Amino acid sequence: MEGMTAWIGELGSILTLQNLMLCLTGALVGTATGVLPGIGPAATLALLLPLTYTLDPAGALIMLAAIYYGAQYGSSTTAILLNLPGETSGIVTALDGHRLALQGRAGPAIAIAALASLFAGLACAMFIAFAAGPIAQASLLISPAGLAGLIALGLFAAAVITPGKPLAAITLILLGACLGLVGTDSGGGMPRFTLGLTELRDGIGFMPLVMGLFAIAELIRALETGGRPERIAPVRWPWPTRADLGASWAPTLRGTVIGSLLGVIPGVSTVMSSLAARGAERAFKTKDVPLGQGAMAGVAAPEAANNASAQSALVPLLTLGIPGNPVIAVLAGALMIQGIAPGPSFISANPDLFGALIASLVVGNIILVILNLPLAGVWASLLRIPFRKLVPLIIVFAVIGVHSVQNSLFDVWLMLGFGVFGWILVRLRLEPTPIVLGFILGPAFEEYLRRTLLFSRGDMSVFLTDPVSLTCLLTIAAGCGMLLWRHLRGGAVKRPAE
Amino acid sequence: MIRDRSFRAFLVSDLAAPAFIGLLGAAMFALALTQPAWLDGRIGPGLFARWLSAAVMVMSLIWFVAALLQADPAEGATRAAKDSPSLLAGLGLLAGGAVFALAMPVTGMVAACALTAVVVSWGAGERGSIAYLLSAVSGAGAALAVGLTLLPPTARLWPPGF
Repeated sequence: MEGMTAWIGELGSILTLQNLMLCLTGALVGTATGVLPGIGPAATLALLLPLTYTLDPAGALIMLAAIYYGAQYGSSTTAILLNLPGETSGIVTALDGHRLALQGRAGPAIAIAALASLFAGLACAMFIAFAAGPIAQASLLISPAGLAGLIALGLFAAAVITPGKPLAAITLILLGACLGLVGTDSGGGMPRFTLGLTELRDGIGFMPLVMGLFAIAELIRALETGGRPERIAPVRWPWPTRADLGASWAPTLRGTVIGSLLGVIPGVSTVMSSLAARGAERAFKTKDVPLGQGAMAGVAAPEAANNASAQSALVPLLTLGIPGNPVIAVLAGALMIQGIAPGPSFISANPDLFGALIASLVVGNIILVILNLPLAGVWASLLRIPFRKLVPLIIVFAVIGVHSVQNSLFDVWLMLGFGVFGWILVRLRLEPTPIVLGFILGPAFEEYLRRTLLFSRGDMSVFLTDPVSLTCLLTIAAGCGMLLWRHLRGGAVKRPAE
Repeated sequence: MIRDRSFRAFLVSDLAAPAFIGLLGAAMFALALTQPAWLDGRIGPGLFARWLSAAVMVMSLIWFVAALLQADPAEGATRAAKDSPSLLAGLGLLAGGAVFALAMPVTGMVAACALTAVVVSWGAGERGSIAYLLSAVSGAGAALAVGLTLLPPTARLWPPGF
């Protein structure tokens, strides 16, 4: 109830003109990002980080959060109209949404997507307001050994659940954690992994790393693979019929519950929540057409799930300091740049910031529906701008942003270095996301490890006697066992077929 | 000959990734060995660094062996053929960033951004003097707008002495 009271109190504080404008700007930029394939929300957030230096922490968080969930909304518009999602989560919506567009019902499909997202966004904001406080309170009681175990479990879950090879993801997380150790050691004050460069004594900057790995590498990938439609169908006034609304409300509810629960697990992406919600709809019979043939449930459920998942992914960050996906990792970076550490004490130490974030989720979702319903056709027409014309401007903003953080050209070279590294990863078909997660959580893990060994006087068995740490270790062991079993079973199934 | 080519493609496609990451891990392990693991009974800067970099090497080795055991040279060759790398875009983007870093101390931010935009637009596939001119103007305009509104007055927008 306290969380709810704080949220209602903060709703008033967000309704200042400046914060509303920041929310609107974030929603506009986020929608444009979601519409335009090529540069995802993580890179956009990273690009806009320098803009937030001049803002107060609440304003910065409001704008960055609005970009994040704005991208989810924008993605559905182009997924429905053009079968071309700007963000991966739109792929699932496109399965039924684009079929509806081909039947001349793009308007109602976009409206249902927006309304389902709005409902999920509001419901999830309530969920965070109610649940995050108690979870954070409980996490304050966890020992350093338990927190180290939770970080290890979060990273393991992220590695296993992320699409691709778990083995590769785990290795990249460890490499990212190594990169996080570059700089002066917090315990003894000695330089570590600095190669004798004084510029590296403060560690690798978050901006050069994220810009290089996401912005530069993603732009190169988009230029190498990009393709745009020549013609965009017009969208009439998008108002759904009573039958559309009737076919959508239950899938919206189910999608919201699935997305809210799955989003809390580190590593679960919005696309996985959307897929799970769409899969769950197969179990329910409706009067509407079947899934895959232009069913409204195929739009409502995944849209509700991806928006709910995007927002509930904030819970592990705000309560445990664990960013579960790259966009949340960039948000964590933005908070750290502002001198605020996300983690167990975040909500109790910054109740105003937490309340402002929740309030921004509510106001931002309403703004997004207002933006997306009448302007769907306008957003889709953004795709007429050739991507190659946008790239020079994006790079200019990237270099200015990276340079302006510390007025350092070394950071620009560092960004280029990580750009080359990210490009190599792209060519080797590896995702850079685990590196960023490891980079953020590696130093935190070391800190908890250091504290644990200090309290236990170097006795490592404390990780087996602490109940939270033991549970995490057993879960990781069970996960490894399951992976191995699945691998062996997969081999056994494959062999007779060969 | 075909078998040779598909095997080489498989090497590039499947084994290069763990080998590359493993080498990075080895380099970091070598650096970590130069740091003390313990300092007067307390954890030193080298302990966690050694654990992590050693873990990178071990995991890369397991990944390498797993890739070798699951070897399918024909599939690797197909994938490598599909990938058909185009170096121009990547080189153009990276060269644009390098131009900024080199030009900035001499020309100031506005001109450096104009040059960067021209190089990047070439890498992105733009051709023709009008396209380059438009890129230069938009790059300089963006730098000017950001510089005048968001950056501190000490930001060097123009060449020294201007």
